[in-house]
Amino acid sequence: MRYLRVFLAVLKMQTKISFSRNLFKFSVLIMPIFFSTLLYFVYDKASNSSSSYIMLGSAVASLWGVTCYSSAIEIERERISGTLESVSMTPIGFEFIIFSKIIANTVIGLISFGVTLVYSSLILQISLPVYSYRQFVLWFLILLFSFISMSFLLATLLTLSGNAFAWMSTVQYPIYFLSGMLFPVKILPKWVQYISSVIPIRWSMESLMKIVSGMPNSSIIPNLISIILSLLYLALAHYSFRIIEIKRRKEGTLGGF
Amino acid sequence: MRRIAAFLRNSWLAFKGVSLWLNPQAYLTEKIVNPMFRLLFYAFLLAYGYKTMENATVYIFANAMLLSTISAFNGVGIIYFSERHQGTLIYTIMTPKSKFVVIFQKVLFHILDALITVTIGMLLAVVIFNFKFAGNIYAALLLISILGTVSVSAFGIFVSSFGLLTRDINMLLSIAESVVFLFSGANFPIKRLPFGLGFVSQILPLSHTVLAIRSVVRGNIWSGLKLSYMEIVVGLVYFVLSFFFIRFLEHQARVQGNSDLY
Repeated sequence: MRYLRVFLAVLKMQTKISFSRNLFKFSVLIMPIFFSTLLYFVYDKASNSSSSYIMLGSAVASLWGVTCYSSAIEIERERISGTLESVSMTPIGFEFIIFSKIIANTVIGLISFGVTLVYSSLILQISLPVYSYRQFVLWFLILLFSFISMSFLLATLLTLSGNAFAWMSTVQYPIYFLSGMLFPVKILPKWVQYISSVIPIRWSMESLMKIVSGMPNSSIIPNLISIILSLLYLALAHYSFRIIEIKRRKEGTLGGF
Repeated sequence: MRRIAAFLRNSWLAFKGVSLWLNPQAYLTEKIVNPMFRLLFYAFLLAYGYKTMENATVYIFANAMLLSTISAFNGVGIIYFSERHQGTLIYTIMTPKSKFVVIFQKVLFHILDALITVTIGMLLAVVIFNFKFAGNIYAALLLISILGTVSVSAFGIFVSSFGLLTRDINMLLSIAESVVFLFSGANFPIKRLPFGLGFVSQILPLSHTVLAIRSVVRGNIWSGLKLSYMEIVVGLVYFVLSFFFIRFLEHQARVQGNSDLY
């Protein structure tokens, strides 16, 4: 109950802070329109798979953009705001606060997902032949889980790199093409496909794209792979987080630059 | 000679002034690794959209040109905003020096920086996707890239001048970058745009450069070079517009005595 209360407080605060930043408003409201418009003019609208990429692909890419962009520098942002020391000393735990913020970013990012779906269906007149809405919701939740785990790991790794701001926008692009959000992974060179197989989002996208192509997709295996990889990412993130905490305390540089 | 040295020194300082957070590692990430991933992403997207890498060749080169927008908007675009943020705007506005020299001084290294990024992007496209062209095509591409970079930087100065009016220019810069990106024709032919929106691309930077690149990559060097003349005109118009806009704001600031408080 205590954890839920803290999470809700973080969600409320994160929403307020995020929407006070103009760049965030741009990522949530305008970037989705940019993505779907670009794909609309580049892809062949007649094909089923292209429509799926224009609508679902750009919606997922926008969601990833918001989640990654906001979460990757979450620890650094606390440092710059001068609140890192206070947050790190909360009884509920520093890691839980940061993790809650990342979940909150993903939840807020769903607005961009909605914006893309509405824009694509109303303005671009694209429809998605979803085979099963029940499966779609379930697979989508697994995708969100993979987003959270990847963002959490990136937040810790980027903090450890010491150049979080420089890496912030750079890490988005490899995930765009390695995960098959906007085009199938099979068009990538073989060796790149091997790298993409360790990205949990790739497996979730594979399942989702099948469902929105109107095909039955009862195979649970890609989603299981996605869950296992996401859990692995969370474990790695937890370990990296410990390193950050110990390193910063040892060097006395928790809030320092 | 001393004046040139002073000009270059000040220009370098102005460049560093808006890139204070940069260190060699961050520069490598932001200006080499980021453009590399960005280009690869769009190259694969275009290859899927146009079915083969060969069909997408011209668009991939045009996308390498679009990498200049990183410096044009994230560098040039924030010059006035940064001056205000750092409390030095009053000196820039009130200096008796020619405004033309002041602006040129501030953007010189950003233009060179953009050109480096574009060159790296094009080399990357040649190496990774194994494109092969005659030597004169590379020379023409370089010339067109220089003109395009200067033009988009002029547009960056124009957008930057709005930094004198707003406390948060990031939204405006991001919108400007997206509009240039969509309307440049680097990803799809402009004629696909509905409601005569193609006209918008004519008045935005890089659209003529993209046409020129497409022409040169297809082997029509002279027609490509001719097309870039229009890019010079577009760049010049934005430079003149921003010049007068800044003069107007400067006048307003002097009248109202609020040069740091727009």
